[in-house]
Amino acid sequence: MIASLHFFLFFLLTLGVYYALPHRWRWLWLLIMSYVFYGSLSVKYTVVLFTMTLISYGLARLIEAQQDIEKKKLYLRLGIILSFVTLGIFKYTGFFLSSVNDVLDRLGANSHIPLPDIWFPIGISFFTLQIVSYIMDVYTEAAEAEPHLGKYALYVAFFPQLLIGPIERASHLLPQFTNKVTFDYQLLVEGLIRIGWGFWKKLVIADRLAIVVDRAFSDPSAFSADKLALATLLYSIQIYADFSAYCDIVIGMAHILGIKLTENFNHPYFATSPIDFWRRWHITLGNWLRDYIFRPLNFAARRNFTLWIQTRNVLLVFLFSGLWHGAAWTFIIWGILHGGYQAVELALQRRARNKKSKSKPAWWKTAFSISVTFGLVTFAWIFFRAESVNDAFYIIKTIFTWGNASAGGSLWDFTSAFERQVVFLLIMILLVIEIAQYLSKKPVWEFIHRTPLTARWTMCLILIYSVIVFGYYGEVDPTAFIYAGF
Amino acid sequence: MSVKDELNLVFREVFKDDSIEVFREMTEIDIDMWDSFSHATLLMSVEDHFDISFASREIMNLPNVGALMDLIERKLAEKPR
Repeated sequence: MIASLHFFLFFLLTLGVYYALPHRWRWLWLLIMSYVFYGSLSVKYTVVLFTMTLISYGLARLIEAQQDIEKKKLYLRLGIILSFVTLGIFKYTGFFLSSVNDVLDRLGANSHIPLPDIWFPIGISFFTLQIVSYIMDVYTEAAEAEPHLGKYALYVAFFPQLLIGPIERASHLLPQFTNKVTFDYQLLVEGLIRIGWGFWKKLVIADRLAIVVDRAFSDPSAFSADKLALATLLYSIQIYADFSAYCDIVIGMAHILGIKLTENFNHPYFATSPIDFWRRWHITLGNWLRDYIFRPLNFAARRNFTLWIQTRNVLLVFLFSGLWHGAAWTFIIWGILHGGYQAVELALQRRARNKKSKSKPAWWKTAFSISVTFGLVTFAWIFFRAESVNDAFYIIKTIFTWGNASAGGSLWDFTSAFERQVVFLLIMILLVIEIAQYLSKKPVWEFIHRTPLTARWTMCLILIYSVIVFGYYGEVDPTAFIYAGF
Repeated sequence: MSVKDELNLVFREVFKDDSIEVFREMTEIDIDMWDSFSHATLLMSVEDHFDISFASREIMNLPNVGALMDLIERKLAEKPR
């Protein structure tokens, strides 16, 4: 939806009218366009969105107005429960019932619970977290309850980040809707370059890799160990290119509207440990988990903070994270794996706490830590991507025993002779740009924007040209993002 | 001693670093060892040091050290003498 020409035109229309309108009406225009955008996917989605908005708006106002702390707590609980129950009904009913049916099967029962036909309001996982954070913030007085229903509705529905985040906090996003922004050519150019870079990562890298990765994961038994290992590695690159591209596109769009969204990535594959990874990957989700689950859990246990409690808390948080990503055992295992990584790292830290040296580690130690972390993360992605738990274990077993050598499946479509060479060349280009961004601590769009005029235009044209020439526009739907499935 | 000076002592004790100088805008980014776990230990040490007790509602709204100082001062003012 986001990386499509239709959406880009929709954005240009929104943008033109936005700056033509006087300040005081702009929020209304953004709200209308957000509902038009969401309604264009399905009108019934907007009913869910609006109902959840209305309920949380009312509860937050009740929490703020109430003096009695017990009653405040009651409204808070009601708000959290209603939000997650709604999410649960749309997201987990099918998973829950089919799990019950599995159990019935094993017990030898003949009857099954029929699976109801439930539609899934895309984006609900993201805006539910945003709604819950708002109610919590009003309760803890980190944010004031927004008196204006329309502006609050825009906070929940703001179209660039409605479907896949970044998951914003009310105190950060809401005041920006009333900021007096005047049209700025600088903002426009910066934003457009960033959007262009996002389109490049999505259409040139992610969607090309998707073809290869999908071939391997849709039928792993047809491939030998080396091909499954390669497909797994390529998936690591695909999911990063896909999700970070989305973030670049929407943060760039909001930037042009004069609205600053929170960054979601900070070179995640340069992380030196699993904990470091979660400070760099999907940052707004990590912060949400930290502030609303992890810290309160740790605080509650502070008088009795054993290694076991520490481990339990990390596992609980990542079990939640896994379940939030998807209603399937694969995601649950993925979450527990990441929780396990961090629990081990924390246990090691606890032992080394007093010995920690302050000097910077040697470069080869850093490189080693980065490689190990990347390996652990890539291993966990197998569960994230596999179609079933059995598939995931099959892939792992095949790779680690270097088995299935006789399988003849090919990852590449040899009707296009250069497919493999093109893909590797493009990945190399991405890698070089990523390393340059990491070392210079400067994002590529900023770099392009700061070069002299002629060089800047040349780079922009190369970027646009390569999106058109190397972008992948077949087989897979280029408008779908992996994270839109959550 | 002011709340800030006393809090500085607690920080140095918890993070085992005598060079720490707290300031209002300080967050976990400024101290390497300040993670979600030492955060809980830090709050517990603050409670013990000042002989106050926090509710979970209060500790969820602590964006920086300045907010923590304000919370401590409020708690000390509420404390029966």
